[in-house]
This record gives sequence, C-alpha cells and structure tokens, in this order.
Amino acid sequence: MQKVSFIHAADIHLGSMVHFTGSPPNYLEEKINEAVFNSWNNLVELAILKQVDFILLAGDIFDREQRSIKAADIFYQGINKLAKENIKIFMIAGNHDHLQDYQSILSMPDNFYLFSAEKFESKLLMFKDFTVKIIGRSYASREETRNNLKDLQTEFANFSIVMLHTDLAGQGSPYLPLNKKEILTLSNVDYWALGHRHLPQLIDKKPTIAYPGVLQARDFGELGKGGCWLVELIDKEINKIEFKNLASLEFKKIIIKLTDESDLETFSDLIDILQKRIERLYLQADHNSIYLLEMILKGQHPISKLLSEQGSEGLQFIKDELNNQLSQAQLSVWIERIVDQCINEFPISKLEELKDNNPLYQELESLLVKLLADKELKNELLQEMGEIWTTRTNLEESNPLQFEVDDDQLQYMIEQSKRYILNNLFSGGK
Amino acid sequence: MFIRRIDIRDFGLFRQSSLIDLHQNINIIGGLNRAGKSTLKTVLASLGYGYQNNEQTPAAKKQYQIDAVLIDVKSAKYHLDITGFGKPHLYKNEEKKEISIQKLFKNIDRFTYQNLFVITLDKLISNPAHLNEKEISKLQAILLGAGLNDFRKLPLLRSDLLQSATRIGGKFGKVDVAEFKPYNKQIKRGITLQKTAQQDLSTFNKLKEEKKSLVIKKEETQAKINKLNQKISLLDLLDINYELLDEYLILQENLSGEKASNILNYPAQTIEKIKKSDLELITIEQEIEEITTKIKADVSSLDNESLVKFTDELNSINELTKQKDVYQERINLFNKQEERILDKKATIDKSLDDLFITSPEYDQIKEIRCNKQVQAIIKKLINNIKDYKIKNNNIEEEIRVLEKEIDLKDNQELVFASKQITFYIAIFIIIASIFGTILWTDTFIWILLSGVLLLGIDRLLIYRQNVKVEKLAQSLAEEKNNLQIRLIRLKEESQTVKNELRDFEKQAHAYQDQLYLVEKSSLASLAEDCQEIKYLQEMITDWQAEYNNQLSRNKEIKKYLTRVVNLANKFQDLIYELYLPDIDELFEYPKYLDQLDLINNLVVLADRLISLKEEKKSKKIKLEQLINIDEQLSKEIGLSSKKIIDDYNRLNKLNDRFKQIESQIKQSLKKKTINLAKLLETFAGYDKNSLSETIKKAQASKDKFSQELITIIEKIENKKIKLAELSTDQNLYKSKQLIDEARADLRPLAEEYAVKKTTAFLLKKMEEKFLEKAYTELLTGAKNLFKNITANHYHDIIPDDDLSNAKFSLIDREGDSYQSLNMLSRGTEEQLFLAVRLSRIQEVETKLPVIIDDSLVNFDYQHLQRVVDELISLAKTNQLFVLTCHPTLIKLFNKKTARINNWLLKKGKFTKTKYHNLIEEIT
Repeated sequence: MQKVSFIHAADIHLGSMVHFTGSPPNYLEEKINEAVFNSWNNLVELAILKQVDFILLAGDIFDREQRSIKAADIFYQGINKLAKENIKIFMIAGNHDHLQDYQSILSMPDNFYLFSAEKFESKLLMFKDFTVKIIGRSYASREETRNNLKDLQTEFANFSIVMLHTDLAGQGSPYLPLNKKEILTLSNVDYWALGHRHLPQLIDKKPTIAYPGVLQARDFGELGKGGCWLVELIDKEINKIEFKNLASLEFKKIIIKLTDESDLETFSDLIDILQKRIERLYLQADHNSIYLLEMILKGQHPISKLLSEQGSEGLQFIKDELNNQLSQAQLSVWIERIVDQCINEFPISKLEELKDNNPLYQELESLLVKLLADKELKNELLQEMGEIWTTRTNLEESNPLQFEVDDDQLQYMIEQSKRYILNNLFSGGK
Repeated sequence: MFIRRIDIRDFGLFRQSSLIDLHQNINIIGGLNRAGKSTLKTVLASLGYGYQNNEQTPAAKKQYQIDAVLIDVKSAKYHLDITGFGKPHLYKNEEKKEISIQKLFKNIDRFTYQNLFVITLDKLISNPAHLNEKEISKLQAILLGAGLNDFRKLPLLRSDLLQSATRIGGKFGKVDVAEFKPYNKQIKRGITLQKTAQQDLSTFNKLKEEKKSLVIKKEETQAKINKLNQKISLLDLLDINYELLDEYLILQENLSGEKASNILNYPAQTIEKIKKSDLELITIEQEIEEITTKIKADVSSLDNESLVKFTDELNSINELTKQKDVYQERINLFNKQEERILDKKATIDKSLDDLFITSPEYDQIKEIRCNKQVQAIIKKLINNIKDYKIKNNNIEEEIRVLEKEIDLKDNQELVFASKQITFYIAIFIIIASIFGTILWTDTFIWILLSGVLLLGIDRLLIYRQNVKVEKLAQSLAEEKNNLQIRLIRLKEESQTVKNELRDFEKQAHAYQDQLYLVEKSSLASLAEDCQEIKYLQEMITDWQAEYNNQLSRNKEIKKYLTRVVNLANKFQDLIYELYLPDIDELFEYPKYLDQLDLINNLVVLADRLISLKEEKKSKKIKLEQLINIDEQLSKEIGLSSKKIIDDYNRLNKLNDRFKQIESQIKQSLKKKTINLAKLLETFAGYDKNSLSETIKKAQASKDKFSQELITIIEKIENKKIKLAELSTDQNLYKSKQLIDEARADLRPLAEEYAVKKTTAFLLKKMEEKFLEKAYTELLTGAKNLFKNITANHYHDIIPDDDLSNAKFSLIDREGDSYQSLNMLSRGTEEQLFLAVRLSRIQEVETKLPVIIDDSLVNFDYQHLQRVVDELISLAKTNQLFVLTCHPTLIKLFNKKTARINNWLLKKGKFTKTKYHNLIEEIT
C-alpha cells in the first residue's frame, strides 16, 4: 500500500502585509506585520511534520507590488529547510509574480522547480507503486489569456495534477479564461490545483478541483481562515483531503444589533456592550490567533442619534477606548474599525404618515427601491459619488487611491442619505 | 370630519349664537352684508387652531368662547371648545380627557386650512394681496399638493449638501482635491515608496553583483599581500638566520662526503651493538683478571687441569656446602643426644639397682606385670595394713592413755592453773626490773606498781582455784573406776586387730616376690614400687627407641662426612689452607666442615672464570661478525671497532650540530609557511646587504596593497549595509503604513462625501420626479375640474418651471397656450384657482369643512352652475359652508341638491330656514 501526500497552497503573496491602522500594542504589532511570513513558515513546518512528498504552489506566491528581498529570503529559507527533508516544491507563477517581473535573488536548491511560462511542462514523480505527474505553466505577464487546453495534452500518469492560476471565470477574464466545464474536458486529470481565488474552495471532488485561498488574510476582503489543502493518496486514489489553517491572524466582522439594548444610553454603555461581545468572541476563539475586528452597529436605537451627531470622531473615541482596554488585558484582538449602520431614528408613526401622505417621501421610497434594482440609476449614483469611489471589485487591481464600493457599502451610504433626508426634509422643521 | 353644531359667544357680532344641526354636506349661510358672514368665516377658519390676536379677528368684549360638536368619519362625536386666544380643546363624547386636535385635523396646519379650505374671492388670484412672497410660495406648494412644502426645501438642502460635499471632495470627488488632497498625497507617497521598494530588487541584484566583484578584488589583493607577506617573512627569516644558514651549509658539506655519509648512514643499531660488545668484552676481561687473582691467592696451581678439577666438583661441592650448616647442626645435636641416651641408661640402671634384688635384663623387666589393676590391688592391701596398723596403734595409744589417766588420777594436784599466772607475773616483774635499771624513770615506778597489782590479782585467782579443786577431787574417784573397765575392753580389741594385720602382711610379701623386689624393701612402698616398675618399663621402651634413632642418625651423618672427606681429599694438594680431619674428628668437631666454604668459593670462582673465558670467546666472535657485516664499510674503516666508533662519534657530533642548527632554523620557521628548502634556495640568491634592500622594497609594496585592501573592505561593508537595508521590508512596511493610515482617515471623509453626494443625488432625483409629477400628475384633478368648469374650453394647466411660483400656463382646446395669467379674464383666473384648490381639497386625505365665502361672484351663470356642480360633488366628502349674499347661488345649490341646510344670518344670529325664505330675506 503506497501512501503519498502533498500540500496544495497558493496566493501566499509573500511581501504583502496585513492591513491595519492605528498603533496596536507591541506584542501584537510585530505579529501582525509578520503574519504573512509566519503563514509561509507554518506551511513549511506542516510539510515537515506531515512528511509530505511534495508541495504545489499554484501562483501568486509573491506579491508584485510588495515583492521584497526579505520575502525572497524567507521563501528561500523555507525551501532550503524542505530540501533538507527531501520535500519537493513545484511552483507556477501567477499574475502577481509573473515571470516577466520574476527576479531570482537567491538560487534555489534542487528540490524546487518553477514551471516556465512558455508552455505547459510536466514533472513525473516515481513512487514505489505508482507515478504522479505534475503539469503546470507560469504566467508570462500580468495577464494570461492562453486558454487552449490542447497545449496541456500529455501522457498522463497514474495520478495527474494540473496547476493553474485562474479565476475560472471563463471568457473575458484576464486570468486564464477557463471555466469549470472547460477544464473538465480533460478527463485524465485527477487533481486541479488552482490558485487565484482568495477564499478556500473545494469545487469538486472527483476529479478534485480546489482553491486553497490565501495562506494569510490581509484585509477585511479576506474574511475567514487562511491555509492550504493537505492531500493524502493511497494507491493512486485520494484517501483524504483536509484543509489546514496556517494563518496566525483572522479578520472578523461582528454585527451588533442595538435595537433591544435597553440599558444603552451613553457611549460608555455602548463600550460595555461591545466589550462584552468581544469577550464572548474571545472565549470561543482560537487563542493562538490574532483577531482584527470590524464591529458593525446595526438596528434602531436612540443611541444612533448620538452616534450620528458625533460622527466619525465618536466612533474613533469608542474604538480607541476599546483598544486600550484590550491592550491592557493583553488580548490578541485589535479593533480595526467600528461602523455605524444603525437605521434612522425617525419615529415610525411619522414615517407611516409620510408614506401615506407625502408624495415627496413616497418618491424617496420608490427611488431607494429603484436604486438597488436599476443598474442605470445605480451607475448614475456611483458617478455622483466621485472618482474616489470605484465599483471595481477586482482585488488584483485595487487602486489605493480609491475605495471600492460594493452593494453593502452602497446600501450603507444610501441608508445614511435616507437618514439625512428624513431628518432634514421631513422632520417638520424649517 | 364635519361640524354638527357650533356655539359662538362674544365673538364680533356673535354675542351668543349657535348653529345647531349643521348639515353634513352643505350649509348655506345667507346674509346681507355685515350680517356676520366674514366673522363666521373667521370663526370656522380658526376652529381647529385657535384665534390669533390680529386685525382679522374682531375684539371680544370679554372673552371668546366657541363650542362645537364635531363628528368624524366614523361618526364619533367630539366636543371642541376655545376660550379667548387659547388653543382649542377637544374631548371625545362626554369624556373629560382631552385629546389632540390632530386627531381630527391631522397634519393640516392653520395656513394650509385657511388658504386651501377657506376660499374667498381675494384668494382666487395668483398672488393674493394678504400673503407675502414666502406665503405665496407656500400656498403654491399647498395647491400643487402635499409634499410641495417639503419640496420647496429641496433646492436649498441640496445646495447645502453639494457645497459641503464640494468642501470635502470638490465637485467631482476627485481623489486629489479639497480635503482628500493631503491623504491622497500620503497614499501617493506610500505608492512611491512601494515602487522604490520594488526597485530595491534591481538595486539589490546590482549591489550584489558589485559586492561580488569587490569580493573578488579583495581576494586578489589579499593574495598579493599574502604573497608579499610570505616574501617579507622569508627575507626576514633569511636575515635572522643568515649566520646559522652559513654554518648549516658548511656542515652539510662536511657531512655529505661518501665516507661520512657511509658512516652516518651505517645502521646506528649495529654501531650501538659494536659499542656495546666492545664494552662488554672489556668488562669480561676485567672480571677474568679479578677472579684469576683471587683464585691464585688460594691455590697452588691454576692451570686448565686444575680448573677442570674444580669445575668437575662444582655440583657436589655446591650441594655439600649447602648442606654444611645443616650437618654441623645435626652433628652437634647427635653429640648432645648421645650424652642424653647414656645418661638415661645410667638412670634406668640405677633405678634397677635400687629396686631389685638382682639386675634383671631390660626385656625381663618389660615382662613384669605391674599394670594398674595390680597396682590397685597392692594399694588396697597396703592400705589395709596401714589402716590396721593405725587401728592397732590407736588402741594401744588409748590403752596407754587410759593407763596414764589412771596413774594421773592417783597423783593429781590441782595447782597447775596458778602456776602459769604466777610464772607470767614473775616474768613481768623481772623484765620491768631490767628496764627500770636501765631507764630509772617515772615509768619504772608505774610498771612496778602494776606488778604489785598483778600479784594481788594472782593471789585472788589462786583462791578461786582451790575452791574448784576440792569439788573435783570427789568426782575423780568415780572416773578412775570407769577408766579401769574401759582399759580391759581395749586390750581384747587390740589382739583381734593384730591377727588381721598379720594376714595382710603375708599377702603383701607374696606380691613383693612377684615383683622381684628386694626383701628389705618396705611393704609400705610396695604400691609405689609397682608404679616405679611400670615407669621403668616405659623409660626402657623410650630409651630403646632413642637409641635406635641415634644409630640411624649416626649412619646418615657418616654418609655425608664420608662424601666431604672424599671431596676434600681431591683438593688436598691444590688448596693451600685446606685441612680435613677424618670422619670421627669431624663428628667431634663439625666446625671443620667450614673448610667446604673455602673449596666452594674456589670452585665457584673457577666455574665463573671458565664461563667468562667462554663468554669472551663468543663475544669476540660476535664482534667480529658485526664488524665484518659490510664489506664496503670494512674496506673504508677497517675492522677496528675503535676507529669505527671514533669516526662515528665525530661525525655524529657534527651531525648533531647540523641538526641543532636545522632545528633552530626550523624553530624560527615555525608557524611560517616557509620550509627550510625554500629558505636555503632563497639564501643562495642573497648576500647580507642586498637582502635588507629587498626587504624594504617588499614592505613598501605590501603597505600599498594593504591600503588598497582597506578601501575595498570598506566598500564591501558599505555594500553589505546597503544590502541589509534592502533586505528588510521597512520600505514596504512604511509604504503600507502610509497607505493604510491615510486610507483609514480618508475613508470616513470619502464616505461623508459619498453620503452627501448620494443625498444630493437623491434629492435631485426626488425633485425631478416631483416636478415631472407636478407637470403630469399633480394638476390632473385641477385640469379636469377646470375643464368641467370651462366646459372644455381649457385642456391643460401647466405649472411654472419654478413650482414655487404661483404661476400657471393654460392651453385651450385649440392648443393655444396662455403663458401669463394676465392674458385671462378675471373670472377665468378665479375659476382656475378655484379648480386648483378644489382638486387639492379632494386629494387631501383629511376631509375638513370647506368654506366658500362669496368667492363665486365673478362667474357668469353658466360657469357658476358648473362650479356649483363641482362643489356639490366636493360636499360629498367635505362639509361645505357657503357664505353668500347671492340668491342665485342659494337657488342653484338648493335646486341641485337636497343634502343641504340653509341658514339665515342676521345681526349675528342664525336661523335655520327654507331656501325660499332665505332668498327672500336676502333679496
């Protein structure tokens, strides 16, 4: 009975860092800054611990924007450690570390193989009872449009793996425009080791199509745990596929509904509520992990008036207070931001009346409904929001000068607008 | 809601007036001028809001008091009262609890009610004189529909929002304007830094290459320096060791000749062996000499024959000499033993003589039975004799005592007691008198007095004794008699004992014979004699054993002595001092055996001499063999071991010096990379002067390269620092920090901007929609009404572009547009505004009473008819108060509907009446 095991990881983005603001205490800041590197080191440790036979790195191992020598060095050290354990590494370059930009700073040991961008290459691994073939092709540049799978035709082994860096979005995508149906036309492939998507996904089991997601989340766009797939083959078949968390830090969004909070009158009360919520989270949390939190205040409560009056300064005050308390308690939690998404404080009876009698308000209501449904209107609004906002949600090409607006964000802003209009137009004042 | 009843007190003309049972639909209040119609209008217009102290409100004499009964759509009954300028109070049914007036009037405010529901002629124009511009605008909003009031705020609100948004993010929310600007700059700084960091990779590689070539250069320079160091070191060494090297070379030459090298190369082991053998031979010869001298001192001849003679006996003499002490001891012991045996025999013989009648043979004696049993019997017998003798003696003694006693009894004088004491006293006085004569002291007087005292005491004692004696004399006679009887008995007993004693003695003599004992021997010692014989028997046995042993000792010693004597005989002639007695002499004087030592010493020496001679011979052969080992060598140095050793020593001395110099030089080369060969090779090229010159030059060269090396190392270090700097992700970290922090601060601003812009956008959209509606939908009811009123003459009413302007354009059935109201007749304008108002009243959900205050006067009959139709229609939902002084209107209403109450108002008093009467009254 031949047992072979391997790790499938991608999108490590070595060099990039966890995004956070403010000044976390020293015991956290260093860990946060090193989190991406640590996740790579964790992967190396896991490979050694499990004594895997090889590791697949399916692109974007480095971050183009934040490629650093340190990143290269840490990667190199990991590869060297693996070399001592006789663990092989097969890597393809993705859009973030495409070969045009790829600069090898350190010469890699023999256990490391980087697939070229010219054509699909394959590597055959001979095990006692069966063979494993690993096929892959790197990105030559930021975009990869060569999607002809005929190029991939090769003699397959007992167990064949194809490494691709693709979003599986099909035609039009600049990132290897393929879709699931298309890749499944190659029936001899047993494992599609994909990269590019930042959340772990096991799309299909037979053949296996898997995205490991990022090793370490870096902002609130990458919620959840980061890690890799640990795959075990017994006699040419997948016996076990397991997701291994390797991240030392997790982004979490916590929604706090204030509607039923009867003892909430002041900011101090609100701080208490949030603190209890954090304590609850921390009790259930993995204490080896650091948590970066976004706390979203929701519901309808008189406090929202105070929040609205105090604006961002009020929220900043609450955040600072909470972070101070967390630091004093030496908890591995950092509140990155507090968002006020409470619904308006306008009296419901008045709102009902407006609904019934005020055509202008009715107009507002119908507009709000229409805004989310009517693409044209939505686009018109997005235009109004100015250049600083963009609807581009492509994580790969994000522009730090702009903010991305998704439906949630839009909804939030619309809600705020509605609140403003109600208070200023329909409150009965002059 | 409609008014069922109203009571008015102290309000203008109305002192105490009531309108009871008002009609739900239409109430016509007819009255001539100054009858109170306008006052009633004022009362009704403010019913829901209270009265204001202004020109329109008539002054009260005391205080206004209005009470009304109101009925809502669900037929619930309410009571309303207003006192003075106070607010209206509303109560449901008879309940005391006040409820809000809003319950009935909802959101219709005073202005709206008074300007929309209260229709007076002066209001049916575009700009009523009693209203200011704002009020006109508000009225317009009311006319165009609910919401227009809010709508009016829109532009301002939007403008405020846009202004404030512009302050934040400019007109278009560009990323690098207004309040966004500093954050944008910071982000851009971050991006630039990020790009720099990316370029770091290329810089890193470039630096790495530069460092690499510098390292090579460093190594090359270092190599040059090393070479120079070596050279300098070599030259320094030459300089230091110059004299030594010179000597070294000379020695090397001396030692390098073929002969020298042959000798030096000759195996040292053999040379050592030759040396050793030579030494050994000398030692042997010396010893031979010594031994020969020694032997010669003691012997007459030392030829080979003599030596052989000696050595032949080596073993025997050795053995004999070894045993010598033992035998000397043995002989002494033997002699002593011999004496003892003789003594012992003499003792035995004497005992035999003493005991026996004749001296029997030892063997005979040994045959006598004298064992313990015999001894016991004899002992018993002798004891019996002894006992009987004692017994006999005792009896005889007793007889003698008895006889004496009897004699004593006969002559006894009882004075013996005093005799003793008197004797002691006499002695005392004599001794005292002697002492007194010598001393003559007081003591003498005391002693004398004591003697006298003692004499007295003696006399006293004598007296007592005499008394006793008298008593005893009596008993003596009795005792004497008793003694006589006892004496006879004892004599008989004595005779018996003597007979038995004789028997025993007879038996004892028989035993005496058996033991060969002399007759004279006492019977009393018979037992001891028997024991003695036993003892003698043992002694004889012992003596015989000892005697036999002595014989065998004698034999053994003689054997040894014979050998000694024989041996001595052999050396008799050879050794000067050797004297050897015969065996008997030796027995007597074993000391002579010490002569063996003399022989032995000589034998040993002779033996040693022979073996030394042998050894010398073999050594010589061996030495010869050693010397002869190499023919070549033999040729060179001959066979003289002395010469060999001398040459060898001399050359070795040179060689030692050579080696010492070599070692000295090598010591100086220690820790240097130069070997001796190299040093010698270099030495050949220099004389002492040129050497120091070359050293100086090399040193200068080295200094130059060292300086270069320092510069290169500095450069490498700089590169290293730069590389290390590049190796950190500080730039990336800083860039991330700059971007993240700027974005965190920028985001709320961007959100605020977006919210403001979104709000403005929404407001704009609302405005547009509202306007669109205003144009298309809002005036639809008014249009229809106006169409009806004007009998389809006008088709459309269009509000002004600025809705807040109370301006409308009309389009007639021909499509002609009437942009300005000035183009219309007064009647048409009034119809238009009436139509607009009525349509709005219909649209308003809250159904409140409508008051028409003689506002239809300018309509011709045709139009009036149609207006009345519309009003009757309106009255279905809104209670209608028609205040008029025009019979035509009253007639028209009454003709067209029965849902009507007619009231005559006259001097502030209401009278419900039939319309005919009313017409009559006001005609």
